[in-house]
Amino acid sequence: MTAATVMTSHRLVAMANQIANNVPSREGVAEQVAHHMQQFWTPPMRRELQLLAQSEPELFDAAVLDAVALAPV
Amino acid sequence: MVMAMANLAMATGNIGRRGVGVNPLRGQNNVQGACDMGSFPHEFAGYRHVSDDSVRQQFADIWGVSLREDPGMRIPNMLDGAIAGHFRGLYVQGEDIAQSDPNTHHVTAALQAMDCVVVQDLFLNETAKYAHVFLPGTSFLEKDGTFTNAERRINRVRPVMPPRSGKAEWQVTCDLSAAMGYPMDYPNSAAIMDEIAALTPTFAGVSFSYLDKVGSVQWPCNDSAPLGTPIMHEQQFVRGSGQFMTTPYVPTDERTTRKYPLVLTTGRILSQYNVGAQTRRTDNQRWHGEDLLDIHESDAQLRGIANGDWIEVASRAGTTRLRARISSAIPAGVVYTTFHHPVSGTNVITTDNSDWATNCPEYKVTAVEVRPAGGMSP
Repeated sequence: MTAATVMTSHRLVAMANQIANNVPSREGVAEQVAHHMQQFWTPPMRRELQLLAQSEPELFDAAVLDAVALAPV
Repeated sequence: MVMAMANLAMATGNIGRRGVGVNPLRGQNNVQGACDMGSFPHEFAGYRHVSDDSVRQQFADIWGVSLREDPGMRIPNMLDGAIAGHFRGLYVQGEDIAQSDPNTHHVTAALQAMDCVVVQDLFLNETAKYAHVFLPGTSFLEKDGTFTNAERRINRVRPVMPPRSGKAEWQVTCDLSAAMGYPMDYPNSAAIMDEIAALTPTFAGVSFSYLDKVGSVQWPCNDSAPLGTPIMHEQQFVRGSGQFMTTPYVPTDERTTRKYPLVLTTGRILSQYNVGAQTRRTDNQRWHGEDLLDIHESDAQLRGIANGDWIEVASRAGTTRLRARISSAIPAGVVYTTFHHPVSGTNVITTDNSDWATNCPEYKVTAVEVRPAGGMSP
C-alpha cells in the first residue's frame, strides 16, 4: 500500500468519524452513521472501511465501529 | 447552511405563500436543473433515491438494463479512488476540476493515475492537459434544451446556430455510449425531454411543445398541476407540519498555527465566471486581469509587504505566488483571493477538507502564511 493510498484510506475513516460526531441526534448514533453510509457511500467505500476497522480499529470512533457492523457492504 | 435557512423560513412562516421563500443565489444558471435531473450520485431525476426499488424498476424497464441500488461516487471519492488504483476512467463535460477543485496536487495526481480521461469542453482547459481524449463542446448558443432556474422555472434554450463541432453534446454522449455497447437512440433533444417527463412525476406535463406554448413553467407540472406550481407547500409540507433539522455549529478541523497564522478565504468576483475558461478570453480581463491576494495593512506591514509586491502563499497543501493588494475590506488575520486564473494556482493551497454531509470542499478556511517572494512570479 502506497503512502497516498494510506492517506486516502485514512480519509475514509476521518469522514466516518466526522459523520458520527455530527449526525442530528445523539441517540442511535451508530444506526444513523450506518444509514448515512448506506445512502451516500459506494459499496467499495464501505468495504474498505470494514477492512480498516479490522486492521486499525484504534483510528475509529466507537460508534463508527458499531456502524460498520450494521451497514451492509 | 441550507437546512438552517429552511428551518428559519419555516419557523418564521416565510414559506408557502406569495412573496416569501428561500432564494439561493447559485454560481451557475442551471444548478437547479442539474440537481433536478439526478446529477447527484445517489438519486434519479426528481430527487428519488437509487435504493427505491419501484423507481429503479421504471428506469430499468425503459432503458432495458438492470440498475444497481447503491449510490455512485462523488468527485472527491473518485479522486481518492483513482489514487488508490480502483477508479480508472472519467468523462468530464464542461467542468475544469484541475482548476476549480481544492488541493490541485491531489486532483492532478488522481487524473494522472487514471487509464482514460475524456474531456469535452469549449476550450482546452486545465483538466484537458490530463486528457487522453478531448472532444469539442458546444456553447449555449448552439444548444437545444432547457435551463431550470432557482425558482424551479423550466425555460427553453433554443440554438441560434448549428453546433460548430457538427454534433450536439448529447449526441456525442450517445455516440460514446453506443461505442461502449449501449446504443441510445434519441431522434432529437425533445425526445429526451419526453423520456424525462415519462419517468419523473414532477415533470410529467413538461415537453418542448408545451414550453413553446406557455413560455416557461415551474415544476411540479403534471395532471395535479397542469399549469405548474409557482408556490410549493401552500397547504402542507411533505412531512406533517414540517420537519426541522438539527444543524449544530461544526467547527473546521483546519487550524491556524505559528507556521500558518493567517486564514485564507477564496471566492469569486462578478467580472469573471468561475474558473474563467470563458471570461478570460473576453474584455472582462480589463476588469480582472489577475488574481490578487487581499491582505490587511497590519498583516502586510508585519511581513514587509507593499501593495503590488509578489508574495508567496504557503499552506499545508502547497505553495503559490500572487501579487498583494493592501485592503481595508479584509480584517487582520484573514487574506482573500479569487481562483479565476490558472496561473495563480489558488487551489494549489486549498485543502481537501470537506463537510461531513455532502463532501462540499472547504474553500473558505485554509491556514496559510504569506511572505515576500521577491522578483517576478515564476
